[in-house]
Amino acid sequence: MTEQDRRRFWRFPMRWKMLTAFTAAFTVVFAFIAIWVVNYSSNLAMKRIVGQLLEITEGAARDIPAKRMGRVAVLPPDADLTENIDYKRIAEDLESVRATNPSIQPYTYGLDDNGELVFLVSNAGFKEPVSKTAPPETVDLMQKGLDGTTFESENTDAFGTWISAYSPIVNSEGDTVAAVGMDYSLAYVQQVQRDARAQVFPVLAVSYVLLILLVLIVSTLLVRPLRRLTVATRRIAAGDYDLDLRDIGPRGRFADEMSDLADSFKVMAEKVAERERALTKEVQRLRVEINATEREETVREIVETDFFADLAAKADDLRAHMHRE
Amino acid sequence: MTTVVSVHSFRGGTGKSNTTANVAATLAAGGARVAVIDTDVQSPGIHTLFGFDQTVDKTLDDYLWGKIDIAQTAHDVTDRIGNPAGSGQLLLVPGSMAASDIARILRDGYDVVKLNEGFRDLSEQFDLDYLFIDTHPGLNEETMLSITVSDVLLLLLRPDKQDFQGTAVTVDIARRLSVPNLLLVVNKVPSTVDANDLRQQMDVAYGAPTAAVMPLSEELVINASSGLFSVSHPDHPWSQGIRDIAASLQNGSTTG
Repeated sequence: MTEQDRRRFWRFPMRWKMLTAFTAAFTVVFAFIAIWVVNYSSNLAMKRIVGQLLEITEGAARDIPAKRMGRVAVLPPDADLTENIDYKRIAEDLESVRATNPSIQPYTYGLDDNGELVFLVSNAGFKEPVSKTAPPETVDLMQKGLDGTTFESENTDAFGTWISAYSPIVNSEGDTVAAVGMDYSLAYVQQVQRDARAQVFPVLAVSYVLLILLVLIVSTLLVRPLRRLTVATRRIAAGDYDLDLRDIGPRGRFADEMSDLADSFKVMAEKVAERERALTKEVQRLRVEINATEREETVREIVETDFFADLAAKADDLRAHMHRE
Repeated sequence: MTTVVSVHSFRGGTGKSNTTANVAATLAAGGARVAVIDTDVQSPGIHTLFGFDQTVDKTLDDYLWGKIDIAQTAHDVTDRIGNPAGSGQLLLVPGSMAASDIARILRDGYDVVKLNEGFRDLSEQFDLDYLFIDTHPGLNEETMLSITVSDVLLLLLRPDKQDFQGTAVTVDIARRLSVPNLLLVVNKVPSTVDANDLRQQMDVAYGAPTAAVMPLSEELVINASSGLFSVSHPDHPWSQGIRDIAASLQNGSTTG
């Protein structure tokens, strides 16, 4: 196996090189695009949810009558709530919020006689201390919610992962009687992320396949004229200079660098052919040409000398003398 | 009987000395008793091919001045060709490289009759099969004398216009001197030249056989003057040409 054969055996064709390079580059680009799209859409969803949540929470805090809330807030922990009209109305209000936004878990809370934060109208027990189920940070934020609308970013409790908003219920004197809290289940945000991924990945996959096809087509288009030129060089090496290179590279207004290469190659082949023809002519010109007149004249000049006449006369004797035995 | 071969060329630079040395070596290697005389006393050089340097002593010049006998000038160089077949022997009669000797030759000339006797004595004393006379290029009185006493005139030329013309003159002169055999050798032929075509043209132009068309060889130029090329490169096309010339001489001497 010659060195050239070995190279050919192990060679890595241009189209595979292009394919590898483009695939590698676009894998990186696509990964960035995918991560960005998913993040962007989930962030956008989150932002909208937060806005919505704050609006609903503040709306509920405004809509729940403060006087009624005040009356519920001062009920003893062991009061019979089943017949309490105030409690029922507020529960209905909360329920209507829930009916329109199933992801939202609304509740009210306030301070008991001891100044401790307790649930009022909620799924938890009436006047059950918040600290019993919620982590201290949440308790702090709920506390702040009594003074003004407060937002709590992603927090996890016994019931799941949430974002929450708290807004105070203020009576006509400007005193806070209680607060509305709303938990928004992040299951929805996770769903949005999943949806975004589901939307983006098929698009990327299709783009990927299209890209690979495109690279294959482009590399084939690039390599084909090169192969033809390779064939042409072999023919030139074999002494065939009459090449038709018109089909190498596009023609007319689409002519490109490959067309230029084919053109200059054609010119080169013609020049080489021309030079070879000239050389052949030169070889043919090697004629054994003898000027007869000049020849005779030179011979006569020598022959006419006395020395030559003498030598010619003695020639046979001289040779005989050489071979004297 | 000794076959006297004059090797001549119309101009210098035809590779005359190199060809002479190699043909002589080939014949000697084949079992012949061969001597080479460098009569180009104005610019001797063939001795370098046999490994001698400038200080070679006992030269043809010493014989021509009557200092020594011709037999004493014959240096045995058989060892340069390895082991020859049979009684093969190769002798060299070198020319002097001493500036004073060359100056004396140029000033006084030399006794051509004595040179002629030297050829004869050498042939007889060593019982030579071949005596090669390496001549000075161009036609002058000394070279014409060498040509006259030869059984074979080996004419070397290069494939150019001047050599074609000059060789034609030499051929005519040789014919008028009734030289029994004429052999032509074209040397330094470029690879682009069609050798057969050239040979045919020469047959027509000179009416004499061409013994060899030898290639122009870079390898030969590189190895020139540093030994016998046909011995060191026996497979080279140029060496084949040398063998062709030797074969022509052997055929000529048996038929003529």
